[in-house]
Order: sequence, then structure tokens, then C-alpha cells
Amino acid sequence: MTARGTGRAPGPVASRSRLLTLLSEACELEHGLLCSYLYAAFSLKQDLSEGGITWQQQQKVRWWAGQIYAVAAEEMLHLAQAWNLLAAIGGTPYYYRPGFPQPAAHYDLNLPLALTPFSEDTLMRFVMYELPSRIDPLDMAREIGLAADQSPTACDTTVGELYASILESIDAIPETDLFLGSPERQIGQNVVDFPGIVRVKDRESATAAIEMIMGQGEGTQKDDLNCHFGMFLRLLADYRAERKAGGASFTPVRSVAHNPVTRLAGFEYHHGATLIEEPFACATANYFNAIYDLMLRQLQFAFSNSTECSDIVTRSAKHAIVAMTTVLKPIGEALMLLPVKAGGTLCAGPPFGLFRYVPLPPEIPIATRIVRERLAELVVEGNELCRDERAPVYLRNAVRNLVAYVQADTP
Amino acid sequence: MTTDDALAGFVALSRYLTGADIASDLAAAYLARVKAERFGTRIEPLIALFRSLEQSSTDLESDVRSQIIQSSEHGPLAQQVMLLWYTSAFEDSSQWKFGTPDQHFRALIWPAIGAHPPALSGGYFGYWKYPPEH
Amino acid sequence: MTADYDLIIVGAGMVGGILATHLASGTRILILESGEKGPPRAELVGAYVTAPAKTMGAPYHGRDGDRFSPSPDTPTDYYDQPGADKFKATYQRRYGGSTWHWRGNVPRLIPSDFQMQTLYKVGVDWPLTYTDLEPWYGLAEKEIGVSGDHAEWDGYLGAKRSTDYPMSKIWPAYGDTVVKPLLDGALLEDREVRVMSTPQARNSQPYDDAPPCAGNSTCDPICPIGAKYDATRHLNRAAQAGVEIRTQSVVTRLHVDVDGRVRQVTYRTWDGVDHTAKGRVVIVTAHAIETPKLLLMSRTNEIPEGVANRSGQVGRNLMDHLQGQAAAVLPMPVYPFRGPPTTSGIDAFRDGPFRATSSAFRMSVGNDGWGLVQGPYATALELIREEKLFGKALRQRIRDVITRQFRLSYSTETLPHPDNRVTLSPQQDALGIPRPLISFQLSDYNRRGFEMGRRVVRALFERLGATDIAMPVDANLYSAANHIMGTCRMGTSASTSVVDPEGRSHDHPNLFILGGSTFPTCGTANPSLTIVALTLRSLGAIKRELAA
Repeated sequence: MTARGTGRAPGPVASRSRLLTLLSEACELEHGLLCSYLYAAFSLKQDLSEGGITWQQQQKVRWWAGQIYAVAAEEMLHLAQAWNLLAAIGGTPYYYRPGFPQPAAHYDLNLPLALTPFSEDTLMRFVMYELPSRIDPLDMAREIGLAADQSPTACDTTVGELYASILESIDAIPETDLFLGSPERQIGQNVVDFPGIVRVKDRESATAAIEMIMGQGEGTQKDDLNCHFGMFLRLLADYRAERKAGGASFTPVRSVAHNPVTRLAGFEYHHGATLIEEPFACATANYFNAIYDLMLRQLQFAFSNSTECSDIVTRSAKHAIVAMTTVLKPIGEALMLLPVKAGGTLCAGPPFGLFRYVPLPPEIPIATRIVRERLAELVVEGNELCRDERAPVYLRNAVRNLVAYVQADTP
Repeated sequence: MTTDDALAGFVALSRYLTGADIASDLAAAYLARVKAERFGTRIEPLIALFRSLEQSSTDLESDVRSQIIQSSEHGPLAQQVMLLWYTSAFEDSSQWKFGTPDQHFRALIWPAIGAHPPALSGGYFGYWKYPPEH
Repeated sequence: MTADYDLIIVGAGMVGGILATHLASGTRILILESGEKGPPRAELVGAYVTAPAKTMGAPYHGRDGDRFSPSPDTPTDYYDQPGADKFKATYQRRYGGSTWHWRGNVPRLIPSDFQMQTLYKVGVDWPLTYTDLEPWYGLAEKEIGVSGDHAEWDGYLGAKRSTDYPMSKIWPAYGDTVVKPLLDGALLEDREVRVMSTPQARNSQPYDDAPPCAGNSTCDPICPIGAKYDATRHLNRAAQAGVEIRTQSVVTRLHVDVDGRVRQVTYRTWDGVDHTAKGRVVIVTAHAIETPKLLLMSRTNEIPEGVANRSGQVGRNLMDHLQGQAAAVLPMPVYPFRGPPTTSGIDAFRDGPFRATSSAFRMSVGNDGWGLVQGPYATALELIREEKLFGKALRQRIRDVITRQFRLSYSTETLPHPDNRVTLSPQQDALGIPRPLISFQLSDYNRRGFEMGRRVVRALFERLGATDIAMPVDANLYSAANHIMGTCRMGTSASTSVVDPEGRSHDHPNLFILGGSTFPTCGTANPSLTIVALTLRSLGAIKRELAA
């Protein structure tokens, strides 16, 4: 498979530095996509008491959310897999990504990256994110009703094609030169809950890893819809059908902002970011960012360390996952209920804001201490937020869960 | 008792007895279901009693316990009200009586135990491996 | 109305669907199904969640099928069984069959299961071994989509695996992760306990155009999203490939020609009208009660014992896995009712020298509170009525109790016995078709299995620090697994078995019988995966018969 548009990665094909750059770009993309997917899933209503959905529609809505979460979980696997690939060839796991929104020109993908609630537009963008390279983008855009000027063209680079470039470089560099990373840096399923994650040590395992990623995204053969692409395509059709059948009273999506941010640091104001002005909502959004930031640092730490210290590594990874599912997720849901402006109906949503790149150091005792300090600070901050009567029950649950797992971990 | 008073009173009573946040749109449907049962004919006196206790009691919990829960007159009905909110069903002589599907999906027992109503997804593949968020 | 088909299949269930999908190309196939196709899935879910009793049949009953194609939901609503010991297994007659309500657990039989007579001097040997069937097990796992952990299972109890599972395992429930470290390694009854993930026909990723499991937690009796395998997947594909599927058509008679071949069937539609259909090959796969019933109903003066029954074994050797459940409260929360009702099991007691005198059993680790012992609504009722709680105290107590509810169950092997059987009752259903008359007796072999199961459960509860233990009070109390087997056993000898190892009737060369009814013994595995493996293995013989 040849890549169209090798993009701005520097160096010839047989360059390790080029390969490291491409892998880092893949990390940014997987990470950015998964945040978009999570945001859309969060924006779907949960309870009948929110109104706008019947119980039959609620079945579908929860199923749609579940499907999108499942795709997001696979993107997390892809991110972790990219980290293993990086570690295998002398790189370091990379957790950073640019803020939302990003205009289409930021990546060769030529699609904007944004946090937008579930909608036909959002789903059309998701379909295009996962488009297999075997399909012409303008044909697919026409098929799903996306305006041609919003669509990438065959000259742009799909996610699959990015991975194909990565594979190209892997094949071009002599195997014994390329795979100089220590095998103990490879993270497997016994350390972190990612089924099918490949420990990379040679061309064969690297190829298997990349084929797994591409297969999950765009399928393994023509007409294979058992992949992200197929799932989003079906979801789009399903949603459209349900909207038609349900009419104006079918409102399954919460009223949440596009690209919520806690501060406007630069150009994003002109590209569609929404500043969270209401102070409590803003404080909660900052809290979300803080937990998200720590969780990423802990995951990166786990992937930067040798599995010979497997106890620490496993604990670090486990904390990150527990934080994601029992702390971060409920805060995100709390934010879906807090207003952007005081007294307004538009709600905030989780900003997935990363402002600075602050990796944990590799030395275990130092990293452990830094995490402990930070967790203590976050417990205090969380309790403070919960003293406010505006704190939704989701936020209280999140802080309670955070306190519980900090206590369980403290010797 | 006016219809509005009965409904408002039923909401207040339900909130107190269940210890949970009651959806007032569901309350109207549930009040109607209670009234349709043979044990539900005395719901308005129960509501009236609760309202007066709310107003005048110095130890509401104690008074509710002795005058409602432990009372042979009001106790069984109060229990059916609690059961209704928690399970969306009444129970009479080992026969369970459910209402509509959407009432099942709003039964309070499920969020109380950190779970979800059966036949409605709790979220994403594998969520059950981790402890509940709520 | 008559028509010519190459193949007539009786029963639109899992086997019927798989056969039709594999044979559709170039073959004129008719599937006759007694039940209805049914309303959309969401409607069945609505029926279930509002049903007063949450039984296996709850989503599906209250419809015309109750009269014209009745399925048992209790031991006596459809079965005629006057005996004291009841046969309690149920099934579902409809397009898709019992896979609508099965739990979806798919362990394989183990090597010993195929040689009970040789190894333990009880039961009979199968006419094939685990090794013979092993490659077909691998294909079966791909056919219906099984999520499992290959490394965990390869070689356990002697069962080697030559292929990986098509999907990685269903995540064990939170409760499993709590109890596993406390139970693993325990040595009980000379067996080493190991909590293992249960292989399941439940997607862990998109597979076969069906979604991954999203934890709706009502696997039995209905998966709202189709992540659990059900036969409509195969049947819909078969229909698209041109297979004709006639529902609401109850086959009442197989006609035997003078040359011994079965080329014609009579079926009655729900309006009471009789029809015939002709085919060159006939396959009966209507689950293990209706299949022998049909063969017996087809008796004539020339064949008073019924079709395919020169051995006299049709309807005999009726088996189910008889189960017991015990409940307890754990010192720590396990948060049940999130995800499938069970995701792990203990398979250590599925084999051992004790099988010479006492039943082996498979254990499942519950993720459904107190399971069959007490449902969560009943627990809430008890707290409200007996403990007289209200307000926040009630809410907290509900959480405190139910999140610590736990149960273990044991599912015992039943040995084949000629007097455990299905025959024709003089009672009829609304179409004038005989109901099944069941004769069944619990054996001491099972009773001893229950005793051992209870000993093991008690020991495991002790290790967990459990309290409020509720064991089955009556030593004879058991529940059904709904794994109906044995009534058309396979074998090499025409005098002692109904079909050969490929499912071909010894008496009628163009008649095949497939499904759990062909099992000579039942081991302790849920039968469906073995049924699929045997079906795939039979395709060769069926194709040869079609080509002849």
C-alpha cells in the first residue's frame, strides 16, 4: 500500500527520525480522535427524566453511546500500541496533543478536530476520520451528504495511510538497526487492560501491531463493516432514521457547547471555542483537566518504565484506568449539566484541556512522590468544589471515588 | 384535597420515604397507579398525615416511624409506595404488578446499587470490570 | 400445497440456520418452523421488563404462540408430567429458537466426557473422541463468534485447543476480580480451584455485523442489542441467500416410503390447515423434546414404534444438567447486576475419579446478586417490610446489602437412563397436536453430585468470609439448566442408537437428526458449542447425500 502525501515528516523514508515523528503524529491523532468520540458519547442523554426520549428511543441512545465508547476504548488501545512502537525503536511514549479545536489544515488528514455534541454533522466527521483508503473521500462525502468543501480529497492522508507510511519506514530500515528498544519496556495485557496489545520487538510484531490498528479502524477487506468506519456509517444511518421517525420531540442530545475551554489562550477563539464563563463550571472544568493531566502522566510513566519494576508499572497503569472510569467520566458528565454562562441553558462539557507537557520523571521514588502530592492536592480541591451547592451528584460521586482510591493506595 | 395538593403531597411523601430525588413527572403516573389498587384507597389520608407531620413535628423521622411506618393503618400503604419507586412494581400476595416499560427504566433500586436498569446498557464494553462510578 | 425441495429442515433454530447458510448455494431449501417470527426486539424487551415473573419465556409469552406452538415456561404448563420428580428444562419455539433466551456460555466438552463407560464404568462412550471433534470446535467458535481466553483454556482438563478464539474474552466482572485471589489455589475434594473466564458467544468487538456487548445485563432471557449470538443471524443470512423459511408451520408427520426414505412431511399451519412438502433430504432439528415427539407422532401400522426408532431409543435417555445455587453476603461489595449474569466459573470439578459414583459439575460465579435464590426486588421488599426502613436509611441499606450479594452454583451431569423419556401425551395443544409426556426420576448419582457441590460451595464461602449463607434446604431441590439432550442418541450400532456420528438415521438414509438430542452423555458443558461443532462436522455427509 503506497501512501499518498507523505506529509511534513522530515527525512527520507528510511529515517528513524522520520518514523519517530510519524508515530508521534499518530499518537496525537489517536488521542485527539478519542477525546472527540468521548465528548460525543457524553453528550447523549442518559435518563428518561432528562426528557425528549421515549424508553424505546432511550434503548437506542444508550446503545449508540456504548458503541462510541467502544470505539474510543479501541483508540486508547491504538495510542498505547503506538507507545509500544515508539519504545521499540528508541522513542518515548508521547501523551501530548494540541488544544481543541484544530482547523483541518493542522494534519494531512484535512479534517478539523473538535469537541462537538452528537449530531449528524459530528457523525459525518467521524465517518470521514475512519475512512478506509480504498474509498474515495469525495464519493463517501457525497454518499453521506457532507458538503464537498468540508471533505478531504484523495490527495489528503487518511489515518490508515499514515500508518501505511509508518509501515513503509519500518520496512525500509534494517531490522537489527531499528529495534533497539529494551523488551522490558514493552507493555502487555498483563500490565494494562488492553486486549490484543502487541509487544513490539521486530518487524513481524510491529507489522502485526499496525495491522491490528488498521483493521479495527477501517476493516480488513472490502465491504467489511465490522470496524470503526462501519460502525459510524451504520450509526449515522440509524440516527437519521430515528430522527425521521421520532420527529421534533426526539431530542436525545444534551445542550452542550462546542469546544469548551477554561481560558482563551490564543487563536482558538476565532475557530469556534466556547469560553466557560460561569465560575463554578469553570472551576469544575479546570478540575477535569487536572485529573485528565495526571492520568495521562501516570499512563506515560507506566509505559516509560521497565516491566522489571512490574509492580509499580501495573499499579500506575491501574490507577490511570480507575481514574478514567470512576473519576474522570463522572466529572465529564457533571460538566454536561453545568452552564457555560450563569443562568444560561447551554452547558459546558469536558474540555480535555492540556496546557503544558509535564511528564513524570523516570525515577520511581520521585515519580511516586509527585503523584502522591498531586493526588492530595486534587482531593482538597475536589472537596472544596463539593462544598458548593451547585455541585451535581456526578461530581460528588467522582470526588468520593477519588478519595476512596487514594485512601486504598496509601500505606 | 385538591388534585394539585394531592400530587404535591405525594411528591413530598415519596421523596421523604425513599430518601431519593423523585421525578415529579413520574409522580403523577404513580399516584394514579396507587389510587387504582385496593390498598391505595387511603393514599390521601396518608398524604394529609405526612403533610401535617412535616409542618408541626419536632422530630420528623421519629414521628414518621411511629405514626406511619409502624402504623397498621398507614404502614402497608407507605411500604407499597416505597416499593413502587424502587422497583416500579407493587407486590400483593406474592404477585408482582409492574407498570409501563419506562417506569421500569426509572426504578430507583438500580442507581442506588451503582448499577443500571436491566435491559438498558450501563455504558461501554467492559465497564463491568471496574467499580461503579455512582 | 406441495413443492419440491432438495432439503427440508424442521426447526428454524441454531442448527437449522447454520445448515441453511452453508448449504444454500445451489440447493433448494425449505425450513419449517412451528413458531412465529415475532415482533421487533424492543417490543420483546418491553414485555420482559414489565412481566410479573421474570422467567425465560417472559419476553415471548402472552402471544398466539402460547396456543399454536406452545413452549414450556414452567414444568407443567406444557409438559404432561405426573411424576414426583419434575423435568424442569424449558425451550422456545420461534424463528431463532432457544438462542433468543440462552445465556450464551460456550465451554467445550472435555476429553473424559466422551468416554464415561471406559473411564468410569457409567453411562456410555460417544462414537467419537474429543480429538476427533477438536478442529470442529475451533470452526464452531468462529461460526457463532466466541469471546474467550485461549491461553487460559488450552490444555485445561486435557482439552487442547488448536486455534485461538476469534475474539478476546468478555471482561470478568468486578466481583470476579475480588473473589478470584481469595479462591484460586484452594484444594477441595482433591481438586484445585481456579476461577476462570467463561468462553461466551457474546461479542467483545464488532463481529459478524453484530455489536460488542454493552452490558445490558439481561442475557437470559433477551439481549436487547444482539451482541449475544442468536440464530436470527444465520437465518436472516440464509433467507437473503434464497432459503425459504415458513414460520407458524408445525410439522406433524414424516412420511416413510417403501424404500425406507423420508421424502415428504406434513405440517399444520396456525389456522389448522394441513399441508405437505416434499424433499430429497430431510433434517429434523427441533430441539430435544419436539424432535423425538415428531418421530413418535409419525408412527404408522407399518412402523408402530415411530420413524427412526428401530432401536427403541427415540425419546429415551432424556437429560438436562441439574443445578443448585447457594447465596451469601460477602464482607466487601462486589457490585452485581452490571454486565452478563456470570462471566467466570470454576471448572475444577468437571472431572475426577469420583465420576464413577457421583456427578461431576461445572460451577458458575454469579454476577447477579442472589441469583435464583432471591431477586433484588424481593430483597428490597424484605428490607422495606421486615426491617421497616425508610428514607436515606432504606436507600443506604439497599445499597449495602445488594452490593454484597453473591452466589455460586453447581451444574451436575445427568447419566442417560432409558426410563427418563419423552413420549406422547393424550393431552393436546390448540392445534390438536399431542403435548410431550415426560417421565423423569432424579438419580442418586445426581444426589451425590449435589452433596459434593454443596460441600464445595460451603468451603468457598468460608474462604470468602461470607455470612448469611443460604444453601438449598431440600437435598433434592434442583433447578434446570435448559440443556435438553439425549433423546435421539448417536452411536455406531443401529440396535442401540438412533443416528450415526454424522447424525444420519440408522433406519432412513436420507434423514438426519441434529442437535442436543444426539448426545449419548452430557458431561458438564453447556451443549450449544458442541452442537455447532457436530453440525459443521455433519455437513460433509449431508452434502454427499444431497449430491447422490
